[in-house]
Amino acid sequence: MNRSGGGFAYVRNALSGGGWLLLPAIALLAAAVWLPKLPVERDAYDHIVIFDVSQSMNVEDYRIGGTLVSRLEFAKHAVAEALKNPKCDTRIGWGVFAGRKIVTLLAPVEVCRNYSALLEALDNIDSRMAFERSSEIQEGLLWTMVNVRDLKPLPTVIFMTDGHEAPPLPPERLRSYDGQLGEVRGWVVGVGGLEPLPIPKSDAEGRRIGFWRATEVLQWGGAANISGGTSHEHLSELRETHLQALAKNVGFGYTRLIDAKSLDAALHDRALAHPAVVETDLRWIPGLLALLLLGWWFRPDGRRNRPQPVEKPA
Amino acid sequence: MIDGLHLPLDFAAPWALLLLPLAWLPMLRRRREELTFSSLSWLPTDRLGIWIERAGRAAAVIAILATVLALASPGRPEWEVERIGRGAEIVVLFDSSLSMDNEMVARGAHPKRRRDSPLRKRNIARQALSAFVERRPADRFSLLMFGAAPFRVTPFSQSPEVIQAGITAAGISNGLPGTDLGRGLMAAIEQFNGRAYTGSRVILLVSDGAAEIDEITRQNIRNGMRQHRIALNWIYLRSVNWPRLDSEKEPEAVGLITDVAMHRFFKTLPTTYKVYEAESPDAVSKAVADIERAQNLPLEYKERIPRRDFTPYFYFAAILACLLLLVHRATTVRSFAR
Repeated sequence: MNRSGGGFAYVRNALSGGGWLLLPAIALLAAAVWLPKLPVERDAYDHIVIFDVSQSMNVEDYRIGGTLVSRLEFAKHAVAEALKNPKCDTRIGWGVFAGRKIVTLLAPVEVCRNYSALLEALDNIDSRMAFERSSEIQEGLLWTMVNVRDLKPLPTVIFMTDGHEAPPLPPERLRSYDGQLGEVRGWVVGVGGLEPLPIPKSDAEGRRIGFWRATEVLQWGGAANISGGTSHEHLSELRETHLQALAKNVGFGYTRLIDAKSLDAALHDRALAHPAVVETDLRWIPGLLALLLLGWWFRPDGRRNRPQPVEKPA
Repeated sequence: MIDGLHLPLDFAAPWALLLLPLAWLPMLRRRREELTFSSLSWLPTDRLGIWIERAGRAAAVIAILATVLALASPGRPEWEVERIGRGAEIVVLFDSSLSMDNEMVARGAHPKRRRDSPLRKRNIARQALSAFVERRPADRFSLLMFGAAPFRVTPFSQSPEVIQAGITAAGISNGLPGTDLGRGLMAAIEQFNGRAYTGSRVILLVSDGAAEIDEITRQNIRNGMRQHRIALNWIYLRSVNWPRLDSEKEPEAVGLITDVAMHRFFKTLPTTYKVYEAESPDAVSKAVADIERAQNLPLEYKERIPRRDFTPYFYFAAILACLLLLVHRATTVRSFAR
């Protein structure tokens, strides 16, 4: 070793043989320590999920782990599942639909911070919230288009229903949406099985009191077929064609709730995203680069690395 | 840091831990840094040298380990501490009936229903409540709406964001048919079921009145209020110029039969009851400020301590290890060649 260099020789010794690679590694690590969160533009979502809470949503034609559950229960379950891996730039809120109108329960809030409170509020939603006995879905959807405008910023709408109009919608009362298509965006999510099943009847406290009978409800087949009417209105199945028409009318997408994953298409639809500037932690970038440097430096010998030729001692 | 001891570390990006095996790399022997001696047995055992060698490897392992752990974003999870503050447990019972969509107008004037009117009762109530919640971070709030049936919006929560979202939603919601105050009050009382008594309890009723309660429900309400020791505050969104509820005149004469009946029933409650007759947005704000002063008793509450990020400490440890490694390299001979 060259002793005449003094301290400099130590530095040179330390940095020789690839040791200088430690310097950029240290610099990168230092950057990782002091790097503040930086604003990055990302896709963000702002949803209000509206649940149909009318009686036909009590039909049990879904299963969770082998147990029969109602359409409403399954819709809630699917939403809760979708929240399990929350993206922190998603905001979500709840509303219910009955009669001709919606009631907003919770304006959209950020999912990560309010995860448990959101789930508790979701849990509270049940068919006792049906503030009207009827279920006029076309009117409900058209009212939704008006009502959500009061929410700032304007959310996108996820409307979960089985499409069972009660009373049946006379075809001449089909209305076309008179607003600007694409201003309020969203999805109609069809909930329910395709097999017509009896509708449980319940009282105001939500207690089951048998099923609706054919003579207790207004029947309307024939001409009302196009507006979702059938000649078995006491039975309920997912009225898909009607919902597709309603969705198209307001410029929404339509998807069917088959399993808990079906909601992904709607909740993470890129077309519903809006750009949001999110304070983002980017410390991992210099951190990972530093790790790569260190890893490369300590890489094991490859097979091609033969023993070095014998060198003369200094 | 002491309170961190009994709490586990968690990782915000646990998948980075998959890189942990990299920390083993420095333990592998590398020929390119070996010295060649003609005879090793000739050399004496160099204890110090062995320890210096081990220290060098340890520093290298720590450098990689600390970097990988830092990438996984370690931290102390969010947790709660018990604190004693001043405040109350408040159930906000929001009348969401159709009449709440009307404007607050002078007696005799015809109330209009304009959604965006600043005089709309629903909007006035929303703004006052929102300001109230914002000023009281120590309180726990629960929100219920009622029409013909009660709507449990949120159970007790200390997330002001969620309560504000509920108040916003109630403020823009469509009016519900019916005004079943009895069921609304019973649902509000039920919110206290199974909760330990930790401080002052209040039901804050925001209503424009016009609700009837039958005798059986009245008795249930009295019992519930007594059992759970709940005070009742009623922000009565009255119309301008109407006689006050305590007016000497017979209710029939003042045209407020149901409202006066409500008021008289509330006065028979075994717990504290106070009515704030508010006939303008200003009066509503005043009523809210008054309640704010009254409900300031000691209350046990849980304060949420947000997650604490330890990432920088780990990067810092990695830097120290790298510096150590440099020192190590400075003092060792790795090659006889120069």
